[in-house]
Amino acid sequence: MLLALTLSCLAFVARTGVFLGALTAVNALVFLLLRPQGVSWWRQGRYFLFQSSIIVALYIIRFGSLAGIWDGLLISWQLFLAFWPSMVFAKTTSQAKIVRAMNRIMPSRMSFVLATCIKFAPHLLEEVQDIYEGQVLRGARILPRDLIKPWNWPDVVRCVIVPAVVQGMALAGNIALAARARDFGLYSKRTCWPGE
Amino acid sequence: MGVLVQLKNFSYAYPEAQTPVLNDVSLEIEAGRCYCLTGPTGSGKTTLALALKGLLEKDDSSGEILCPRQSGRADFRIGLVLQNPETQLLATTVGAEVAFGLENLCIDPAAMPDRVAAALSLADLRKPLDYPVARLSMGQKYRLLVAALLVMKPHLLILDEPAAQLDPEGLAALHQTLSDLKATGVAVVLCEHHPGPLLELIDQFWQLDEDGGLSDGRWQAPGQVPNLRLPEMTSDLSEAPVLLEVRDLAFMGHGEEAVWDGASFDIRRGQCVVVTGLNGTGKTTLLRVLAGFLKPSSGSVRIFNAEPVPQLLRGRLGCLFQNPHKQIFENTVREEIAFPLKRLGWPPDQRAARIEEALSFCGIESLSDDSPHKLSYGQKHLVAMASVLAPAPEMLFLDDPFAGLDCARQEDVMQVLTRWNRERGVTLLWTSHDPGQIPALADGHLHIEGGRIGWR
Amino acid sequence: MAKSFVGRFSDSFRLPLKDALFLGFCAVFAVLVRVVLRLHLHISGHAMIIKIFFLMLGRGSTPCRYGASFTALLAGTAAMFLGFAKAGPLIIVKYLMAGVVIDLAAFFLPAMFGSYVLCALVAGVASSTKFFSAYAINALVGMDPVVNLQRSLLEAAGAITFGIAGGLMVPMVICRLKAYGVIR
Repeated sequence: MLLALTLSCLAFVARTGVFLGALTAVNALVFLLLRPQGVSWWRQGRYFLFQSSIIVALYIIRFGSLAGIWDGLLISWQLFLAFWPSMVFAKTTSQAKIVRAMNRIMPSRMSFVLATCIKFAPHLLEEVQDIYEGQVLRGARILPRDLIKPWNWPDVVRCVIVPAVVQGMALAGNIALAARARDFGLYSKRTCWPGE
Repeated sequence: MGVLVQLKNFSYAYPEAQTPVLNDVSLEIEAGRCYCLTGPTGSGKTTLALALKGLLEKDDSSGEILCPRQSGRADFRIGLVLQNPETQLLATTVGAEVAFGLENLCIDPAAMPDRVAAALSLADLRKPLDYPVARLSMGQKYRLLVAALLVMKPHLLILDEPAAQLDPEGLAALHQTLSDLKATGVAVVLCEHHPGPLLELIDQFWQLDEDGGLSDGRWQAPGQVPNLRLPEMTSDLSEAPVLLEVRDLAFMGHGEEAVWDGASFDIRRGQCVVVTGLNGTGKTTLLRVLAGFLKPSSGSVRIFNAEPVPQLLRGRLGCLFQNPHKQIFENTVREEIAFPLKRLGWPPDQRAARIEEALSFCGIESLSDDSPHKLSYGQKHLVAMASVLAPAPEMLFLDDPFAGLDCARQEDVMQVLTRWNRERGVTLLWTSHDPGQIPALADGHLHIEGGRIGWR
Repeated sequence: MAKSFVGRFSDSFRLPLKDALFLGFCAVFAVLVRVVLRLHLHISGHAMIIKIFFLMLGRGSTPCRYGASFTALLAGTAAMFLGFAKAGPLIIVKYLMAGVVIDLAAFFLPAMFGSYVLCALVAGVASSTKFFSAYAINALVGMDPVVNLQRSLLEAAGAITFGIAGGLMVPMVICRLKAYGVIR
């Protein structure tokens, strides 16, 4: 976590090509050591290309020549290196480790809330999916091809988002009850499970 | 044996409720005894469990709850397992889940692994500490929750409807665990209609009536879904055309093992088929695959003589959720029923007639201008059903339509379904978590067990 | 020190666990929905529709006076831990600026969640914070000031447009939730 933060912050101060090159090498080394699973090279590459093209175009307009290309690329590489370490950190860290890392920088109650909500997000998404499917069969115009027409958009808010928010509130209530049933909140501090 | 917890003239009303859910309840719980709390759905069994654990708002209650914690015994603990394991499992690994209670009690992390392993062994769940919770079966998840409470060394353990979540093997394991706990002086309260093999552990039955009063004795749940006198069938179903044809169907999901596979069956026009299976066996998944919302990993489905495509099934296939809150969103009952008719393009004059018919069919004419959100759970269920039935679908999928309904409402729902099936010839396919509750209306019974779907 | 400050901040406004978890869901969804819906529109600022909607929903559906800021804090942290933070740790500041604007607006305009005009206005102002965060991040990496200004204005224009769209969805949801009796 600290390493990710340091590498991320260093990207902001790496102004020269040499510094940036060294930082890239360190990032690559960390990447090879940790070997994160599930990194989408296509998505990361596309993001970098999209960002770079705008910045480079603005630099060319600003300086009126192709000399801006190099500066533009350096800047967008810096921005890319600012977010890369946290992505690697997220892909290589278990929930228990993330909670432990969060516990170091935020109160235990807050880190519990965040870790629990991340854990239950897929469950809530499934509920939203249920709602969506039921409303499609009821005739709601919310299929992707229906949503090309903007006058169908309010249907999404009324028949999907509103019941989903109600379900989200109910789920939050059930989880809170389950946590309190196991004495969550008995003391203001909590210890942390040492394993995965 | 000493008294652990005592309730004296305890009453509780939920905010904005007209009548109390618990009314003048008095009871005593002694160490080393097992109690079974019975009563119809909605009579307040879970509320009483929450009261014993001290999780109800004090402002809305009256009377006294006496337990050793109040007289300074800070180590006195009450453990409570609620109904749905899915919303109670808060961590991703078995070890972290069991340790959650220890974290809350500020136990030294170094002491945690041994206590966690001992609790898992007591609950007969032999899995590594880093085993992912998501890979456990529903029965194993329930045992994990029991372990997560045992690790906190409770003096009283309350289990809300354990039999609904456990397979026979899980129930047998729970029986052994509870028996061992009783022997060590732990008191157990089961909130359960059908204790099954746990029956011999029970020392005393309590029953809650519909007015929230508690008395000694066992409330007898009706053995089956209410059965009505069935109208004569107008034609022979074996000659009727096949509406749903399923061949060698399998669904993998995200795991390594198939949720179920090898499913082959036909459902004919006018039939009523019930799909049973314990929670987590994939009943809802089956309905989603049949409606075309999920792609099967192999096999084929043909519904109305075509591949299932959701937009083409609009108006022909209706789907009723177990939980009406997922469906209703309009401001009045009438608007709720009108919504599918509007979207399916019914002309306004026919629309009004259909709304009146759906309202009267479901017996909710008097509620037509009320907000559906302020009705009781059972009434919401009827509104959701009226809204699904209004466009007169040819086939109806119902996901556990009796779950959470009291007997009177179950009868109302059954009456509507029976008439719709026998008088209108609507084909019904519904799921139920209780294989023992098959209504007389059913022409067929599919059962899911061990990843296989077959006729019974 | 940061931890003790956040601890005192959260203790002084102790939220019921249920509300805190609901705000947590708003925060996680503010980060995840774009990914789940595969909304890679490649239009600058399109993520703002989701971000502003959930921040305003967090404030409008709980009685918590710092609901949007709390949601923003959680969303920024979640983005950082989940690896969606395109600005590294500064993502928290980006979320927090929009959250604070919404909380302040709700404090001075208590009826804003019933009004489409006010919600659109506040959403626009909250989204405009994108300009400051983008300018600051670009300045930190040493981008040329003129290019920085142009790029930040470009990003902010897109963000404001989409932010207003997100804000316009809020009154419809809040009014329904009030009518249902789910919130007061």
